[in-house]
Formats: sequence, structure tokens, C-alpha cells
Amino acid sequence: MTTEKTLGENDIIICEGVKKWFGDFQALKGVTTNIKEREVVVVIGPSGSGKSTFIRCINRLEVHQEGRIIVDGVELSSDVRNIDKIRSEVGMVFQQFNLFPHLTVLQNVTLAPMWVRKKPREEAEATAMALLERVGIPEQAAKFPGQLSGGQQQRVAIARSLAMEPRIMLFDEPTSALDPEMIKEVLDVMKELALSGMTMIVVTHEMGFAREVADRVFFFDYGTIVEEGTPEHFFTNPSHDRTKLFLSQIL
Amino acid sequence: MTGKIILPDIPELEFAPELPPKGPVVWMKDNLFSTPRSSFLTVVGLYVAYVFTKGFTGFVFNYAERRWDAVTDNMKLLMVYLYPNGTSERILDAAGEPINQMHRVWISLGVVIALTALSLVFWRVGGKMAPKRITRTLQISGGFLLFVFLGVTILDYVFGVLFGFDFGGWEWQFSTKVHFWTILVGVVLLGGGLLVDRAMGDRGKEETISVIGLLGALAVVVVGLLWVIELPRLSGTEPGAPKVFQPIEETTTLPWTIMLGVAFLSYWVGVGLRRVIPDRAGTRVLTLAWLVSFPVLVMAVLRDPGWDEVVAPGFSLGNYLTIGAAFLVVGGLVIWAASHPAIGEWSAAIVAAIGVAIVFSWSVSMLMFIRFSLFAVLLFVLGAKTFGGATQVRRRYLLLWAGLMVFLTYFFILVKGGNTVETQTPSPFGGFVLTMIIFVSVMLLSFPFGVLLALGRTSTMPIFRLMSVAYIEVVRGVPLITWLIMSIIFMPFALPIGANVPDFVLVILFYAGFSAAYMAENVRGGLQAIRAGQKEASVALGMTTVQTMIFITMPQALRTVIPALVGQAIATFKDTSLVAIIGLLDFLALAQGTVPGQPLYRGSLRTMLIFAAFFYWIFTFSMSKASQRLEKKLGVGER
Amino acid sequence: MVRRLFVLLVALALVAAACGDDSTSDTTEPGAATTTTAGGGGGATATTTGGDGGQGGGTLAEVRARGVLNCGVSEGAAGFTNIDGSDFSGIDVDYCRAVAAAIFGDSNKVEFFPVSSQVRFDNLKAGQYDVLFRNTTWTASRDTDVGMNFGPTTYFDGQGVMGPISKGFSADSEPEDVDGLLLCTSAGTTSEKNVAEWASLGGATIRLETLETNEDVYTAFIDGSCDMVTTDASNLVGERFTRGFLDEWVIFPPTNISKEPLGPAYREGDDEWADIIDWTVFVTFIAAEKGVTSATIDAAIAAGDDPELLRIAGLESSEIVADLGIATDGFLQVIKQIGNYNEIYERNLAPLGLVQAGSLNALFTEGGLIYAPPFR
Repeated sequence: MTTEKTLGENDIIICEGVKKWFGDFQALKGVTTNIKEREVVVVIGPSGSGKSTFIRCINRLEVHQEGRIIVDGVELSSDVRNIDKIRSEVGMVFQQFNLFPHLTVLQNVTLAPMWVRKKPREEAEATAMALLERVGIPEQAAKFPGQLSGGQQQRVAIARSLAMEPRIMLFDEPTSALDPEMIKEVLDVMKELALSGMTMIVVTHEMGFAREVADRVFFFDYGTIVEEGTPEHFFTNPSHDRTKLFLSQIL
Repeated sequence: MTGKIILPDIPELEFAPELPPKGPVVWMKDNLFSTPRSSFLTVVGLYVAYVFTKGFTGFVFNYAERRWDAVTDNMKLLMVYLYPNGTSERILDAAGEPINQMHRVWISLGVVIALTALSLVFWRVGGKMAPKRITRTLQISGGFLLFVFLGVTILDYVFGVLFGFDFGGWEWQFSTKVHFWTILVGVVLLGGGLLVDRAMGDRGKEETISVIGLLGALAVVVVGLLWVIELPRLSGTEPGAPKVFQPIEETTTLPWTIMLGVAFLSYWVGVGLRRVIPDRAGTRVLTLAWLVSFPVLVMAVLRDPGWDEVVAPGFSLGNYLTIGAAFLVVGGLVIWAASHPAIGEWSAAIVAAIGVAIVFSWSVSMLMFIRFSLFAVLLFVLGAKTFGGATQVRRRYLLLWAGLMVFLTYFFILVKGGNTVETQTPSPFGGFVLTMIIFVSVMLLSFPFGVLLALGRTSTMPIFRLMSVAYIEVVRGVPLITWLIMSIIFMPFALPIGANVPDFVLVILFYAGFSAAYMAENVRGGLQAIRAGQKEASVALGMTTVQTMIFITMPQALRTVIPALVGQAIATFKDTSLVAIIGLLDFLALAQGTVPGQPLYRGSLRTMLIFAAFFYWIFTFSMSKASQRLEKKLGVGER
Repeated sequence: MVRRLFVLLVALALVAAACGDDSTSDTTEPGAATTTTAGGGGGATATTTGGDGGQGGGTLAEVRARGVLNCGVSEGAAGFTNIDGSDFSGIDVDYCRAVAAAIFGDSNKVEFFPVSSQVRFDNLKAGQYDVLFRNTTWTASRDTDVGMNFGPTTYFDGQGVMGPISKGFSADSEPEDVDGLLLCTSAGTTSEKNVAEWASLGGATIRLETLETNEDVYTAFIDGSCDMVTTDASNLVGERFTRGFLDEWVIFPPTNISKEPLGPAYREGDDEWADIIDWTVFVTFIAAEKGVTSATIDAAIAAGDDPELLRIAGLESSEIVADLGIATDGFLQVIKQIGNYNEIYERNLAPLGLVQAGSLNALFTEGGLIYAPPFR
């Protein structure tokens, strides 16, 4: 399936030869790629292939040691002032949701807009309620995360990221920790988001999602992008042996 | 292969089978005598309980040397030490009349009680309680009385008179009157409890009784008893002299009744206020009121109420007001600028300038007020990036600054204002008041310091980590009593010439430093218990490290360590009694040294110790109960 | 950079303003009116001035500047320091007030520092208080090692033995009277050794029994299974009084077994201060010797027939009092407001059953040890 939307002209994320080591273990072995505005990229690959590390490098939760990463025109370096700014432009959704358990759903969503974007409380709360509406759980606003199901928590997490009005959204295996019957509700929200024109990088094992929504699919293995291409190319005619092997194992 | 339907319909719900209630014999067999080993342990346990209660209650109720009049006659001394109550012929006012300032103590107590009542309302403390719990408590206390007064006497008779064993212990001869009444009370409690229990049946398990209402009723009963039971007073100075009863106006009956009224009034006012004020605003105001009330009560109500001393010669009130106003305005402007979103690099310059001013202020002779105010400015400028931003937020931040400056000015004026409570001692504080002042000050001071140490210890910056670790290890490696002794032996030499800091202030500072080290380790435990994902999620949203710490990490860390922190608070409360060793007359020092040292009450040491133990226990037990409730309440929303 | 300078200037201006207003450290109490260079007020000064012989300026100057005498007392010792709900009383407390009366002419210008026995000397050295009246025994090591100086003894205590009159004991009982009898003490004291030593020196042997607690001792003593008990004489007197056996028990031997002279202690090296304390105590002795009390001193002075009394009152050879550094009527105020030694004793110790007559604490004219040098 092809998307209706048109991709932007500019590369919003540029990676050049990104390398990353954990001790002696090399997690990224020179990743080079460009991602355009409004593009939806799905990253697949076996566990330990470096795909999570890759997207965590993009908002500098992990620090790469070699190469360059340029996000929205700003190079990620050890300059701290830039990093807060970048992170507020780049939303991230985690496998384990990572909602703040001591705050209500509404407070989870309004906290960062109030203290980072310095929005007045009323405005932040209005935005938050609109977002909770968008992800389909406005009635849960006053509850604590522990009282919600996994799928609902992940949708709150998405709303929380969106509240910062990010230009890029990163998803790190957002459905892996969910019970099967809850996966769809999260994927639906992500699809809707993709169609609205958000730039997204999604690490996932949901091949259906990749096939349906992605503009491009990256196959990661041994710390590099082994193969990339449109979903059509990827699922019908993969060229690399490793890709073929991987797809044969999971499909 | 085709499937097969196993269950044609969804089965109806079944209730768990109701077990028939167990009789006491079955219960005892199940719980006390299930195996030979448990039977043995039960018998040994009962024997130990028998010997202990016999000795202990024998002392409390019967032993010749018990001197409960030492407690009642010295209650004022034990609570507020030498606070002028109009009985001293040496503390006279201008007209030559004895000065009585006890109303200040009652006023401050009234403020605390009113705040407590309001807090109960706004924090929605206390739920419902099953009547069964009350009846069970009645049964247990009745059973205990019967065990002690009937059971032990019978056992003693059987073993001692019939078999000739002597288990030792205190003299065990009650007057018939004590015996009769106690056994009667025991029978009424046990029997009444059982009867009510049976009458209520299953309804007794429903939570229908309001905890607050029950506490209120208990308070009414206790205060009511003050009116009914007359406290004896010694008529002369000879021991064994006939007792007379104190007239009501000389007792604390009336003040306590007023306190009860204050409690009820504040509670109902609170209930009314809650209808118009949202809970969040109410709890915020109350939290602030609690924080401010402690220093203000200590300084203003217990120390210096009037401006007459403040404007006395040798102390210039004008200077303090001018400096306070200058800091309020100039500091406010600086903070207003620093919290501007476009401040950028200028922020560092401002911080540097204030830093220079602070270093300068400490290197020359300077009013402590200015030094502290400079620190406050620095803190606010540092926090400006985190808490500033939109104009609305900045305005609130500035308001906070104004509030702090007003408070600081007021506090310093009071500290400098001198002491109008005449007691012929360096400070009017002693007894339970001193215990509470030490306890609350130590907790208030050690908490922020301990949190800072915990942050330092978990910091990625080696210098902070090293300093924190060194501090914590050194402080924890030396016994508290050593630090306390050092505080009053060494500090007078270490302080600048002319500094005349009272002992209890030095003790509080050292104790707070000590407590902070333990606090730090507790908080660190909480910090480590937080999953890494929390921090990641927070920074991924663009929050700074400081914001993450304040809004995400700390609240969660503190929540997880509440039991540990309450444990530490209880330990701190009890350990305040160590100051008795270095000669501060706290509650225990008066109870175990001063009262038994009075000519009339020589030999009252044991009585006083039992009273002191009971008194401490009431407070620690309440703290422990309160923390259980707090844990339950904060448990909402936890995983 | 402009803003940076601006802030710096503001800070400096505030600093300068503060310096101009008040050059003292903020921790000084108002009224102390000390400066950091001139000294006074605090404890450290006392030790530094102590070094140069204590001439001028020492403790007395500090006390005067402060306007009140700081006096270390006990947290509670029957007869010596008693704290009830409203006031301090006791022989030690009265002597603190006497010193205040001598210096200020007002026995109320004193603040009491109840202090534990562990820290009493250190706090004195640190300058927390100016003089220590805390039933403190004068010993050689305290005089030398600890760095204290001691004034005239105000109470001679010592170990005694107590037994019931019904068993034939009297106040004059000697070692032979206790031969073969049972002496009880509580665990953890060394006092029974002193008694055994005393008995064996007199050629007698006694049986010793150590019981667990003081209460056990008195329980056994009252029911007669112990013949005698022993501890400090003042303590024995207190127990006899509290338990209501004033007429049935007797304390002996006439001279105590151990010596416990209790009196004032002050810092070494301040002779001027030492003189004031010593002579305040002596004046109460002399007044007792002359039979002059707080009530009769005015009449006695008016009679004018005792030159020593007139000298004490500062009415004759007033330079003697003035040379001590106090007002010439200072000692007169001591007698007027506090009284003579016998009055102090009667007021504080007699109610406990501590009989003065015939004890070491009687005046030397009555066979005791209370003796003062002549005032001339």
C-alpha cells in the first residue's frame, strides 16, 4: 500500500557512519541513512541487532562515539543546551510505557508541557484532554497509570509524547510488552498518527503494521542496516540472504 | 479432527462455602496446641507473660514505692520546664507581681491543634472502621485485666500456698478494693465486648464507625474525666502529709477543655471550608502553614511576642526592615530577570556575581541576615531556569520570593529580638517542649540535607560523590552520643569569639547533621529502586536533570522509603533523650534526674521511668500508625 | 557584562551598608555589646585572658558586661539543686545567688545552667558559665589535671553507715559495735570496701552482702535481714527522711569514712574572680559566726560595735571590698538577700533531716569545720 501523503523535501534526520560501543561490544557499526519529513520508517531485525540502540541514539538516550547524527538541523554533540531542545522536539514511546506511576494520567501528559514548554496549566490541560480524546481514553484522565490496562497505558504514553508537539516520534517496540488483544488498539493510534503526517521511526515486530503504514523498512542486523526499501520490495522480494532468513523465521 | 463443546452454558457463580465458626477450644487446639512443640512454646510463653505481668503490674498498682504523685505534681515541669506560671517569687513584673505566661503555651498548642484538625479534614484522613475491631479491643483489654488480677492471683495461690513454690517478683497483695474494681471492669469489658459482638453478628464486620468520630468521642471522654477525677496535691512539704484536691482553676482542666473546643471548632470550620476551597489549594496552604508555624511558634509565641523588645536599645529594627525590603526589591528584580526565558548566558553571570557576594559576605563581619538572604537569592536564581518561564509562572515565582523574604525578615527580627520569657535559665526551653523542638528541628533540617547528600552520593560527578561518601561514612562511623558531646564541648571553642550560641542549638545542628547521613542512605535506597526507564522517559520529554529529579525521581524515591523514613523519625524522636546525658533538660532528663532529685520525690525514679517510657511510646506508636495510613494512601496508583 | 556589574554593585552596596550599620557578628545577643576585637561575651575570651594571669578584664568584666552571672548547677540533687515547676532552690543555688548579689547587688541577676556531671568541667572551661556550684568534690586531680580551682567547701559530705537504733546503734558507734553484723550495699558501688577497711582498722570484721538494687537493699534493711546500709551520708539522710524513719535510724561513725568536700569550682588563672567567689562564701561563714542574719544585719550594723561586720558591709575600710572589684555594699547585699551560712543550711538541708549541729558542717565554734579567715 502506498500512502496518500507527500514526503517533505528536507532530511529531518541525517546519520553518517554512526558507531556505538558498549564496553567492548560494538552495537552500531557505522549506520548511515537519511530520513525525510513526514516519513514513516519501520525498523525490523533480530534482537541484539542494534535497532533499539539506533533510535535511542537519535534522542541521545545513548551517546554515539563516532559518526554524526543531525536532527532537525542540529548536530547531536556533548553540548547540553542543544540536547534538551532536541529531546523536546523528538517524542519517544517505550516498550515498558514508562508512565510516571505517582502522577495521574492527566498529570503525566501535562507535566512536560508545563515545565519544559512553560505553558499555563489551563492550556496544557486542554491540550492534554484533546490528546487523550485522540487516543481514545479521555475518561481515564483522573486515574493513576497502575489502574489502567497495558494498552491504555501505552496510549497514554503516546499522548504524553504528543503533548510536547514533537516533530519526530520514536517508537521502541511499543507493542512487545502488551497482551495480544491490546496490540491492535495501540497500532490503530500509531496508524492514525502516521496518516496525520508525523515523522516516525518505529522499531517493531508487527509486520502487518510495517506493510500497511511504512514508507520505508530498515532491516537491522549485526549493528548495521543490512537492507532497506519500500515495504512492497521488502516483503515480496528481499534481496539479502539474512533478510530472507529473518522473514522466513517470523512470517 | 473436529472440536467438541464441553460446556453448553456459562456456569453460574458459586459462593465459597461458609465454614462454621470455630469454638474457642478448637481455636486453641489449632493455634496454641497443634503440635507438642507448639504446646511447649505456649506454656513457656504463658509462664514468661505471667512472671513479667506480675512483676510489672505489681509495681504499677501495688508496690509501696510507686509515686504517681511525682508525675502529677511535676506535670508542668515535665512539659514546659520553668516556663513562668505565676508561682515563682523571683520572676516578677514591673508591679512586683509574679509573671504568668502560660497562656502563650496554650495558644501555641491551640494553633497546633487547629492545624491538625484542619489537616485531618483536607487530607481526608480517617475512614470507617468495623465495630468488630473496637469490641475485640475491649475484649482483649478485659481479658488482660482478668488474666492479671484474677488469673495471676489464683496461680500464685495455687503454686505458692498449696505447693510452696515461690516464683519471686514484686509483692503481690492488692487491696480488696483495687481487686474488686479491676476485676469488675475486666468482666464488663470482656463480657460487654462479647455480648455486643454477638448482638451485631455479621453487621459488626461492616465498616460503619468513623475513625475521626471515635477519636473525637475518646477526647471528649478523656477531657470529661478531667472534670470528674480530682487530682490530689500535696498539702505540705512533708512526705505522707494528707492530700488535698486541687481546685479546678489551678489545674489544666479548663485549658484542655478549651483545646477540645478548638479542635472541634476547627474541624467543623474545615469541613465548611472544604465546600468552597478545592482540596489542592487547601492542602497547599496547610502545608505552608505547618512549615511556617513551627519556627513562628517557637520564636513568637514561646519566645517573644512583643515589639517592645525588638525596638529596645542595642537592636535596630529599622536596619532589618530596610535590608529585608532592599533584598525583596533588588533580589526580586534579579530573579525576575533570571527567570526570563531569553536570559541565556546572562544567567551564569548573575550566579557568578551572587557567588562572589556570598563569599565576600562570609569573609568579613556581616549580619547573618544578609548572608542568608544572599543564599536565598542564589537559590532562586539557580531555580529560575527550572521554575521560571511564562509570565504567569514567573509572577508566581516572584510571589514565592516575596513570601520567603518576609518570613526571613520576620524570623531574624525575632531571633535578634531577645527573650522576654524570664526563667533564670539561658533558655526557657526544657522538658517535653525541648524534646519536641529538638525532634522537629532535626527532622526539618536533616531532610533537605539528607536528600542533597543522597543526590551527591548518586551523582555522576566524582567530586560531589566523594564528598558525600566521605561525609556519610565519617558521620555514621561515630556514635551519636559522641557527636552530641562534641557539639557542646568543642563547638564553644570553634565558634567565633563573642558567639554565644545556646547548647540546644548546637545540639540540634550536630544531630541534624548526623540524622542527615542516615537519611541520605535511606533516600539513596529509594533512588536505586526507581527503574531506569523513569528517568529516560522524563529526559526524553525534554525535562532537565533537575526537573527530572524534582518531579519524577524524588517523589517516587521518597514514596518507596516512607517506612524507612518513619522508622528514622521514630528513632530520632527516641534518641532526643540522649541529650539528657550532656545535661540538656529534656523530658527524660527531668523525669529521671530532676524529679527524683527533689526532696519530696526521692525514690520516685522507677515511677518516673515507667511514666516516661509510656509517654514516649504513645508518640512513637501514633507516628507508626500514621505512617501506615500514609503508606496506604500513597499506595494508590503504585504498580 | 553591564548586568553582571550591576548585580555585583548591588551586592557590594548591601554589604557596605551592612558593615556600616553593625560591625558585630550576628550571633551576638543584643545587650552583650561586644565587638569581635575587644573580646568579652564568649567563652574563648575567658581562656585567653586566663593565660595572662587574669588581672583585670577577666571573668568579672565579662559578667559585668553581660549583666548576669552564669552559674553551673546540678540537674537535680536534693538539698543542693532543686528544680520544681517554677524555680530553682538549694544550697548550691543560694550560693550562685549570693555571688550575683555580691557583684550586682541583686541576687536575681543569675542564670542557672543545669549541667550533667560528665560535662560540668568542660563547659566551665569553655566559658558556658562562670562558676560551678554543683555538689562537686574537691580532689587533687581535679585541681591539677582537670584545670579547676576550688573555693571554700560549703558542705562536708562523706560516707556513712546507717543502722536502726533498736539494734543498739548510736551516732557514736565505733567499729567494735558492728563486729560480726551484716552490711548491705547495692551492686556496682565500691563503698562497701571502705566500710570493711574502716572496720578492720578498728579490729572488727563485718559480713558484706551485695544486693541487686538500692530498693532491694532498703527492703532487706527495713525487714531487718540487713543490719546496716552504707553510702554518702547526705544520701543516707535523704533515704531516712523519705522513708519516714527519722527517729528510728541513726547514721555513724561521727567522722565519715571517706571525705567528700563539696564547694564551688572555677577556671584556673583568674585570681580576681577566685577572690570574689571565695570571699562571698567566707562572708556567709563569718556572718553565721557572728549570729548575724538577713533579718538582723541592719540592726547589727546600726549598733556599730563590730568593726569586722562594718568592714564586710563596706562602711569601714571600704577599700577591702572595693579591691575585690565589687561595689562596697556587695557583701552587705549577700547577707541581706541570701543570709548567713546557717540560714542557707537551715533553709535547704535541714528539711531533708540533715542536722547541722554536731556535724562537720557546724561552725568551728561549735565543733564543725566551717571556718573563715578574718575579714580585715
